[in-house]
Amino acid sequence: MTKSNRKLYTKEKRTAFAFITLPLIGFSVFTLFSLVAVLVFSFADYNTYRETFDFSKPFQNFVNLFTNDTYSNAFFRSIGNTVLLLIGIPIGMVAGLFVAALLQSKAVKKGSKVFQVLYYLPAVTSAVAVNLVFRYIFNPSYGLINRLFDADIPWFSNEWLIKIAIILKNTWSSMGGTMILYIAGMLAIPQSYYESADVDGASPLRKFFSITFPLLTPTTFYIIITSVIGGLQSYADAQIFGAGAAGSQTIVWFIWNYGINQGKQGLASAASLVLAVFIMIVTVIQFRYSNKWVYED
Amino acid sequence: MKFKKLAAMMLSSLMLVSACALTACDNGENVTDGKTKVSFWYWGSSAEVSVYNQLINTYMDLNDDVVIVPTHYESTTYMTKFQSEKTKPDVFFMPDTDFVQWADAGTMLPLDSYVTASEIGGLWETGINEYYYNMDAKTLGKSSGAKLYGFPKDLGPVTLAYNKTVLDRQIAANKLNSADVYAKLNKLQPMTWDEFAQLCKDLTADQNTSGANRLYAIPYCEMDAMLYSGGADYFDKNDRTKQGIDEAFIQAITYIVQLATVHGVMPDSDHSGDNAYTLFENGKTIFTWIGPWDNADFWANPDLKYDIIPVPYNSNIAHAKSTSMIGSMCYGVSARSNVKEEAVKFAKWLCMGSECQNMTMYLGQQVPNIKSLASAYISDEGDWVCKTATNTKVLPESRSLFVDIMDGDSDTFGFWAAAGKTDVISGRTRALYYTYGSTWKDNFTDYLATQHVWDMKSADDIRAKLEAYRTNLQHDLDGMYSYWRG
Repeated sequence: MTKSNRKLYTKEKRTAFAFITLPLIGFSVFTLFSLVAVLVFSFADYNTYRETFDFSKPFQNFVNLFTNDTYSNAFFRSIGNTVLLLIGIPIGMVAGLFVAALLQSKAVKKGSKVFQVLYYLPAVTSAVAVNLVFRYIFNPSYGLINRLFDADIPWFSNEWLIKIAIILKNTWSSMGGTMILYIAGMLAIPQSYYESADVDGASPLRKFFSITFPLLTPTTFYIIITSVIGGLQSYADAQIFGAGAAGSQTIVWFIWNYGINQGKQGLASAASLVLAVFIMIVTVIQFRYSNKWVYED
Repeated sequence: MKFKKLAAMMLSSLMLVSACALTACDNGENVTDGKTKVSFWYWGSSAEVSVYNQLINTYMDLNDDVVIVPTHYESTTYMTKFQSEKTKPDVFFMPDTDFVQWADAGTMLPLDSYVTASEIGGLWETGINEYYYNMDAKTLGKSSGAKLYGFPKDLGPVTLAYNKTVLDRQIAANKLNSADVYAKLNKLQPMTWDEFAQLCKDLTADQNTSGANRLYAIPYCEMDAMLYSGGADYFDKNDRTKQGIDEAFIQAITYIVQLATVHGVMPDSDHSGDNAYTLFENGKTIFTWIGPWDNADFWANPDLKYDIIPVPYNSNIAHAKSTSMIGSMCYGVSARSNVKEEAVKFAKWLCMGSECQNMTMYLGQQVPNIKSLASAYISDEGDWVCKTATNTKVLPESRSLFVDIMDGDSDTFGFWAAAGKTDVISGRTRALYYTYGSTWKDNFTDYLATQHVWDMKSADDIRAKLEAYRTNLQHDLDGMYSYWRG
C-alpha cells in the first residue's frame, strides 16, 4: 500500500468510524448496558424505592418465578398464553401466502399493485392504533362484530375467546407483511422453471406445490424465525387489546407488570432472562432443523 | 469524502449538543431570572389540569420570587414516571396507596418542622394522620415517633351517585311510585343491601336480559367500599398482618357477584370494562361511584342532573354500617430538593392555603382540607363555577354526605342531631394504603377472574372459592410484611 493510499484508507476508516459512532453508542446504552443490567438485577433483590441491592440470595428471583405461588401462577399463565397466541403465526403465513399467490397470478394482474398496498397497510400501521380499533370491534357491548351478528359473545372476559380475538387480529395485521415477503420471493424464482413445467403440461396447482412452495422455503424460514421471536415478545396484545385481562397476559406483559408496575425489577429481570434463553433455544432448534426442509441453491 | 466527513462530524456534534442541552435542562438548576424554580408533578383530568393551572398562576402572583414548573402526566403512567425519575421533583402528588414505600425509602422530606400544631389542627384528622409514618417501628398513622411525610391534597370519599334523568325515566317506564323511590335515596338513611338490590331490579325491570346495549342499574362495585359496608376487610380486624376472609367477607363478595349473575342489575364479567363515567354521563347506567373531584367534569355537562347517596350496607352482619372508601393523596416534598423551603411553602399552600382551598372547592375539585370551610362547601352561596344566571343550585345537592363521610363516626356539623338521628355513615382509607405494594391484591383480583368467581351464581360455589384462597392470601401478606419489616 502506497503512502497516499494508506492515508486515504486511514481517512476512510475515520469517516466510517464517525458514522458508526452513533449507532454504536445506541447499541452500547440500549442493548449492551441493558443486558448487563438485566443480569445484575436478576441475581439481586433490588428494592426500587430504597434503591438497594441485596445479593445474599442470588437465585431467589428464579426460585420465586417457578415455585412461589405469589408469582409463579401468573408466570406460568403468561407463558401458556404467549405460546398459545403463536398459533396466529401459521394462520397469518398461510393467509399471506394465499394472497401473494393470488396477486401474482395472471387472473388478478390488473389492480394487483393497489391490492398489494391495501393489504400491506396494516404492516405500517401503529400497533397501538390497530389494537385500539380491534378492541372497539370486539367490544361485547357495542362492538362491530356482536352488533353485526346480533350476538352476545364475551370476547374479553372469556380466556379462550380473547385468545381467538387476538389471533384473528394478529392474522389480519401480519398478513400484509408476510404477503410482501412472499411476493418478493416469488419474483426471485426464475421464469424458466415455470416454462419447463408448462412444456411438461403441469397444472397451476402442481406448479405451485412443486416449484413455488419449495423455492419459497427460505422466505418461510425467515418469516417463522422473525414471527416467533416477535410473538414471544408480544406486549401490546395484552396491554392495549386485552387491557391486562388474565387470558391475554403474555410474558412481556408479566415483565412489564412486575418490573415497572409493581417495582419488582429483580423478578422481572429474571423473567426477561428466562425469556431470552427460551427464544435462543427455540431459534437454535429452528436453525438446527432448517436444513431438512429449507431449499438451498 | 470531505462532505461525508463533514456530515458525520456535524451529526455527531448535533447529537452531543442535544445530549448536553438535555442534561443541562435537568441538572437541578433552581434559579431562573433571579426567581426560585420549584418543579411540581401531578396528574388529573383536563378539568383538573385547568384547575392546577389557575392555582399555580395564583401562587406565582402571590409569590413573585418563585416560578412553579408543573409537569402533568396521565394517572396511569404517573407512578411509573415517578419511579424511573432519578431526580425527583421538588413537590409531587403521592397517592396513599404508594405512600409507605416512598416514605420508608427516605424519598419524602419529613415536614413536622415546617408546620405548627394549630395549622395541622385545622385540617381533617383522617387526612393529615394518614401521612404520618414511623420509620423505626414501620407503622403508619400518627403515633409516638412517627413523622409527617406529606400534606394531604384532599380526602376522596367515594360514594354512589345517580343520574336523575335516567332515574325518572326508569321510574316512569316501570310504573314505580316516584316518592317511594326518592325516599330510599336519602343521605341520612343508607339502604340495606337487600333494599338496594330490589330497587335496582325494580328500576331495570323493563330491560331485556341480553347483555348488549341494555341499561344497567350500576356499572360496577367498588370492592373496598362494599367490603367495608359489609363489615368486612381483607385483613383481620385485630391484626392487619392476618388475612380477613371471614363470613362477612364472603357475604360481601357474594353480594357483588350476584348483583350481576343473579339480579342482573350490574354487567357481568362479560360486559364489564366500559368506562363507568361515560356510561353514566350518557345515561347508560342509573348509578355509579364518584368522588368530589368528579364534580368539575360533571359540571361541564349542564344536562347532567345528579345527586349522591350513602353506600348500602349489609344488615345481616351485626357491626356493619355504611362505610365509604376514602381515597386520598398527598403533596410530598423531595428529601433531596435543593429548594426545600420554597417547595414546602408551595405544598403547604396547596394543602392548607385558604385561597387555594376556596379555589379548588368552587372549581369543583375537592372538599376543602380545612374543616372550617366545610360549611361553605355545603352552601349554595359562593363563587361556584357551575352556577349560571338560570341555575343557582350546586350539584350534587346532597354533597354534605361527602363531608359526613370524612367526618367519620363524629357528628361535628350536627347533620344527624338536626334530624334526630345517630350517625350511621362512615369512611375508611382504602386497603392498599396499609400495605407495602399491591401484589397481594393484584393476585386476589386475578384469582377471582381466573377462577371465574365473577360468573358464579351459587353462593356455595363462591364461598368455596374464597375459603380456598385464605392460605394464598396469608402467604402473600406474609411475604409482603417480611419484605417491608424484615
